Amino acid sequence: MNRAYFARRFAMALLAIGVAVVLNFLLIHLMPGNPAQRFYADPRVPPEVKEEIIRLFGLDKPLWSQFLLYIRNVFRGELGISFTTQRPVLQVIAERIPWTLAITLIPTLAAIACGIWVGLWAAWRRGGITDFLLRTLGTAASSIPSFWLAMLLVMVFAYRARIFPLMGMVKPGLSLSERPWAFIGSVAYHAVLPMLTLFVLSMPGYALAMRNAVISILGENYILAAQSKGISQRTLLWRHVLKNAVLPLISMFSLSLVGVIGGAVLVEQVFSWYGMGLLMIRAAQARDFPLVQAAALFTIVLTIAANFVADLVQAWIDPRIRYG
Amino acid sequence: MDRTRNPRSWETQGKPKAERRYLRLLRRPAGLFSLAFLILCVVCAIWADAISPYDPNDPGDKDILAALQGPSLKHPLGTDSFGGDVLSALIHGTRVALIVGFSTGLAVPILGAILGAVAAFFGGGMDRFIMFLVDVVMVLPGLPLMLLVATYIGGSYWIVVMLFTFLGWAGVCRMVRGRILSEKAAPYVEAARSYAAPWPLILFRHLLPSTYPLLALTAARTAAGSVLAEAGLSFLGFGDPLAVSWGKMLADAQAQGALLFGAWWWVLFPGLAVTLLSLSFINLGYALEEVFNPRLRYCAHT
Repeated sequence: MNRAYFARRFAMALLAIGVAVVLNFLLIHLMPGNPAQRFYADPRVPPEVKEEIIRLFGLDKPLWSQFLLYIRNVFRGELGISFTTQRPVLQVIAERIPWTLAITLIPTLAAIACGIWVGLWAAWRRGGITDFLLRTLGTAASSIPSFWLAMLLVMVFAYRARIFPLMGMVKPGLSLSERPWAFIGSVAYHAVLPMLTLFVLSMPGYALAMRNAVISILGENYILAAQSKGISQRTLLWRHVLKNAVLPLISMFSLSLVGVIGGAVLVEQVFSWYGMGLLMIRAAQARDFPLVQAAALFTIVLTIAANFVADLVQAWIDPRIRYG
Repeated sequence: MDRTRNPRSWETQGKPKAERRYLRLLRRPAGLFSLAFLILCVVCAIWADAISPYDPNDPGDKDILAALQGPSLKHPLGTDSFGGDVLSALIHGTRVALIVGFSTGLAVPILGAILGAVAAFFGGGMDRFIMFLVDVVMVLPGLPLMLLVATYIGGSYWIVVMLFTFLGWAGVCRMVRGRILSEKAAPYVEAARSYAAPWPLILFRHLLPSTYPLLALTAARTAAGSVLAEAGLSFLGFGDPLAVSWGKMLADAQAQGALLFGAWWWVLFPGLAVTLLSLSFINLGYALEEVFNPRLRYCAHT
């Protein structure tokens, strides 16, 4: 792999993380008042306790030394103690990640797989019924608020038809250690509607990207050459079209990783699905600053890292990027 | 139309008149509908107090005895759980949606175009510096940042405007720069240079207009995206606590258990409004792109 390309990408990723870390620090200190004010908002707190708190948190030091302290802690992985749960924030976040990945990763992968086929079909039968539906619904899908669709699905499938549960993640009383299969089954049952929401909204986007890529590739000279060789349509699509058309989907997938990792915040809110997204919302509502900060930082860093990896994968697959 | 068959025929007929160009917007049903819906929203936003049958900001205008009623003559789109009129709230909600949509739709392309043009036109260190900023901003995710800022600053729809502008300009800048760089090498620009045309003339008369189709499309997409984002942020409870907005209506519906009471009208209409407005912006973007880009008009496009 081209070393200069790799180095450039890596430097950008590190810098972006740096910007996020600095922003994270500055945001609190740009706000009026003292970050520790929360602890002594009560007027009955005596002044010596206030001073003790300020000293304890290092808030009496100059800003730059507070910043150095903060950086040191970030590198050590010490992101603070959550105000509301009184536990290390990293621990709280780690508990929520599997729940979010469960409802985001599966529909995203399904949407890509489905989108590849629908897009290929729409491009092959350009102007046909699939193509028309895809172009109409594809534009509409990008305008539908995810939480609204989630609410409508709840209304139809949970309230009217009573097929699926209204909200929650698992039937109360079940535990993973006692009856693992019943637990997993119940989680899957509760996850159907959130996953359906995310699938319905992301599939047309992938299909449209695939369709456009396939159409532009079908006009290339090498396709004409392949056709004139007399190879079958199947081989043509598989070997010559699909491989090149999937490339834009990879970069789309890396962009959608923001949603995959950051959690489908809005959908989680509708279904009371306690993942990363809902954790962040609840922390923000409760003004649990360390938790919000850590969760945001965590999401941002993971997103940047995922983008970086996606860039590398793309360069590895497509030599035009490496040497372009 | 025979023009679509022969792409050269229009050249001999001269430039189409300006008014005909803009009328094309109305030829497609989607474009016409989008324009109509946007005008309706603007009218609602300006004269909200005069149009809406009730005042959503006045607690005295809510009839708690008429709570959660379905659509009727008295309340065409039903009432919420406080007895407030859904239609009136919907009309007042256009204000926030349009303010957010129009301000980001203007700020993002303008900022992106200026920086992109400066980078491409002047090149050198300036170009490297701006593109460096673009690379950094491009990888920052929006939603976590939005939540973070909302936590500290408190709820306001200006957060959406600010962050959309802060994060959105980078993509526009990259596109504009690429477009201008390729256009800079075009023969007609060389011709303009050869008779010593001053650089502002080349930039504003020749280079920038070539980016208008792109800018129109991004403006529309940004506006649509910010309307959705504002609705989302309000839905999470980080919107302006005093302003009536569609996202907040949905948040109230969710919190008050509209789904449990089967109050579909309380959920359906605000979400439909968000969807239609966002869709209108996008459709208008496509139409404007055609207006600015003759190539799209005269070729049978897909």
